[in-house]
Amino acid sequence: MKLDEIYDRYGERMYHYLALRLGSAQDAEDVLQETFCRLARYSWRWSRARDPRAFFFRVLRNESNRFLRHRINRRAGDAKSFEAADRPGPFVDAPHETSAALLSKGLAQLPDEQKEVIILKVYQEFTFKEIGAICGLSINTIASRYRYGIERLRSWREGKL
Amino acid sequence: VNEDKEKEIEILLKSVQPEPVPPALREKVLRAARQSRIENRAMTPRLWRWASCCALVLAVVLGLDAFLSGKQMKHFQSYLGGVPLLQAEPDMSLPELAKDLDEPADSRFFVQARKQLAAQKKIRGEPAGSSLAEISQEVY
Repeated sequence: MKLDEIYDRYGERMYHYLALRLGSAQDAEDVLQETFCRLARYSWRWSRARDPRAFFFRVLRNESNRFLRHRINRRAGDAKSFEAADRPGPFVDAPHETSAALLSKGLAQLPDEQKEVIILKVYQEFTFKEIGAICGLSINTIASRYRYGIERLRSWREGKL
Repeated sequence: VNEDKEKEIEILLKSVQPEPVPPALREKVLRAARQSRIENRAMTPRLWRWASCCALVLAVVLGLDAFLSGKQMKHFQSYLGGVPLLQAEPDMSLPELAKDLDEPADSRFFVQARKQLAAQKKIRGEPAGSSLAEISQEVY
């Protein structure tokens, strides 16, 4: 599979994952570019992957984790270290305007591990097993993170938080 | 009830559409990836040129060596009237060879010691002959 093919198949989904997880379109573009650079450098690895989609998302996840670590280090000591959490995220208006806007804000404020699982499950339509493979965690851990995240969003929506 | 609410949240989340991908992003990302691949290649064109030159030089050296060896062999054969040179093969085992190598030195040592003893005995007025055991006893 060539890089162009990978982008055409998964590029859009990868970008959405990053935009939702990082809360910034600009950061998503940067991390996506870095991910493709990494894939280009290590093409012999992904050419042997059994499940390319999960493999690419694993690489993407590692790259976004690296970016987040770098961002946290850069802003260490800064009171605005979680500025991204205050942002509503790169969404467009949806039919359920109020609820959707509220949820998008709530999603941005979730702990990263819960947010990540929800993004992979809801938007990327991965199974718990696949998410477990991507994150290197057990299915039970992934499932509980997902449920905690959904529960938080529900509470957020109902104004309990 | 909880499951229904979970489903409702999922549906609401799905209704939140992320921003579309910027159209220029594809070219930007792929261009950067190709550039990265070129920059990080294990063998750059310059390295390829170096490797080719080294391989060529090595082949020339090996070829010349074989050619010159053959020529030298013919030269030596000409001294022997065209009889092919035989490969020298050791007809003794290594311990035997080592023994042969040690012996001359030991022999020289004992000859010298024998001469010294004979001279001393001559001074003392004793008979000059002395056995190996006597020499060893005197020396050690």
